Amino acid sequence: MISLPINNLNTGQIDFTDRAFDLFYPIKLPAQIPDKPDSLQLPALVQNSLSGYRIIVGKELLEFRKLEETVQAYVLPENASDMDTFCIAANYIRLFRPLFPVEIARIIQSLLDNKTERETIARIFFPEIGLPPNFKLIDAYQNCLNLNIKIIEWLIEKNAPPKTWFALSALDREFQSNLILLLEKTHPTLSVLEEIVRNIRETIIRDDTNIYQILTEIEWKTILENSDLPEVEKITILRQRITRLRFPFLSSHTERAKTLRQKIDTPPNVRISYDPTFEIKALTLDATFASPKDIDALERFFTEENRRKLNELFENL
Amino acid sequence: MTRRTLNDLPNLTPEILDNDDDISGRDDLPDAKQVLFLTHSKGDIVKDCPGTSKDYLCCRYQVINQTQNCPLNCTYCILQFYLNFPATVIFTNVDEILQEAATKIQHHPKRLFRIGTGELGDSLALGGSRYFAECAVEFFASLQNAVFELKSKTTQIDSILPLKHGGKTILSWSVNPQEIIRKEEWAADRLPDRLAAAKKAQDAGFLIGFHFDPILSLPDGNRLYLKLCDAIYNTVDPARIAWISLGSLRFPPSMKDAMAERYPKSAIPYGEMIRGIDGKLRYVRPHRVSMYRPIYERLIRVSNPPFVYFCMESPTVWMEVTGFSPESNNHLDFLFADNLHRRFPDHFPIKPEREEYDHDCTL
Repeated sequence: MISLPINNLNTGQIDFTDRAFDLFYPIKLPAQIPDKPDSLQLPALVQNSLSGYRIIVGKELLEFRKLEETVQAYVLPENASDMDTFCIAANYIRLFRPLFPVEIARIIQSLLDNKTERETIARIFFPEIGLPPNFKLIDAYQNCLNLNIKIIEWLIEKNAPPKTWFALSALDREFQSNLILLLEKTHPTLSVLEEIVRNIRETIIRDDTNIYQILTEIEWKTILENSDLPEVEKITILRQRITRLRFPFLSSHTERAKTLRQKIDTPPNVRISYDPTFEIKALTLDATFASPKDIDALERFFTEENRRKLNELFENL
Repeated sequence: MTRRTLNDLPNLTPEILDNDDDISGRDDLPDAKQVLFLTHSKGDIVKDCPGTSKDYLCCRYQVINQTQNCPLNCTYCILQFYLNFPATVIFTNVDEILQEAATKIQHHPKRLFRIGTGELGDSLALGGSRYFAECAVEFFASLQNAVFELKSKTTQIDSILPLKHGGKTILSWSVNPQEIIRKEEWAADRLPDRLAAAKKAQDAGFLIGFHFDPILSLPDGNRLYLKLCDAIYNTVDPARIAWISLGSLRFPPSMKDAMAERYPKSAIPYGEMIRGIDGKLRYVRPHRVSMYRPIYERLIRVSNPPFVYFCMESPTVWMEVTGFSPESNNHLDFLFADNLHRRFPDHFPIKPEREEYDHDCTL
């Protein structure tokens, strides 16, 4: 609960040039009319300063209402510390939505720039905004400042969890720019992007290679820029190729088993399956009998030729 | 034993706690590997080895968890993610622990128990572990139906060699190609040094053992592991090796991210792994078989080869690699005893009877 005075401010006294706290994205809520930032009447948060009211939260709302005479806002006192200001601002936003990792990163950077100790950030600030007092999180969040703006916007749009932000922020510029091409050309889901990034990254570490070699090998750009391919197919092709790089043995084993399976002509009421991980070496035959003909079909299935093929499939599991 | 352990650390001032003090909640301590907690055990210390699943054969080994945690920071070690106590624990009530072992195994006098330390930490890396080992070696020398194993990646055996072991202690070493030891086991002793220690142990009359665990999938793995087999057989007498275990890399999925975070340059978390029947990540089965088979064939290609077995592997893998699979955990347990009796009748004169192993006997 924010227990600050709420005032009707003279809009002429708001200092729109003071960007010291311009760290937060707008609070957008489902009921909000898209082109009317003030449609939910959420007050802004400002702070008294020598040059007027410094905007803390609600820049978009205040700019929208710039030409009006007065606007409502919560007012922080001039002598509130940076830490207190950030805590209040962050928790105000948290009333409506989680903080985006890039917002936390910006706060951390601002505090560090003002000589706040890392210990203070971890042990005092983080618990105030619902985070554990963990030093490693300082670096993890700060890395989010390395993210390309388009990736940031995509992550916000997808409501991505912090672990996805952290995973993408560990990628170098080249990797990120290639990801942007993927985002633009295929509009993947969050889980698909996570899978692609994870598999590429893990292949790079395991095989001691680099992003350039991987993307060249799978013809990343060629596929994405091929205007004859629908988006879905682009994603499917890239995922298959990346999976084959990440799991070469499993992929070739799977393809061999699939080829052998396809050679076996099973009647419609019979299904053959096996463990896709090959940990269990077993074939399962499921047969459905809806009529006596189905039983005959199953009996006819076990020719010498089919037995041989079943055996071959089994041996190759 | 407490005094001996503290004498090894003259520059440290111990903090004496009351008997009831519980340090598990303390958050003022540095990393658990930098804190030594000497105490008496409460509850059982001698337990069945935690084999994970009925779908993988388990040899019914027993463990004495006298030391809990390990100073060797192997990247793939499950302990660093499994043990959540804020200190390395050494239980100093040696007599009680050994008596616990003796009491448990005396209920099944016709069964040979294999008992070892080295499950929750290296058997010999720490002073407190070695002092326990010295007592245990001589204790087990007098037990008819038990064999004691010390498992290590170090060469700290000098105080063990002169002991009267009665042929009832097996000194064993976990091994990997030196290329892997350099990258993933950098606090442990080099392979040539471990093998030299094994030779010393053998010359002192001890039976020895080796554990190829974890076997890792490597670009040149076949050649490296065969070179390892040859290095072992060129150093020690295969006929005096009690057993060799083979086990490929396996770990719980939750450990993958933790390993990657702690060792960001290690390739180990990113092998081609699937979830096994017990939920642990393992290499794909046919790939494991292709790794095991050349190692197994090289190891048994001597007269009087050691008993080569798999740790936590499926009967399918046993069959595909060796052409044989134990029928059950009980059967595998029996095969150990049978092999020791046939190959080392002086130390294991009593012929094991299969029916004694055909019922479960959880400690």
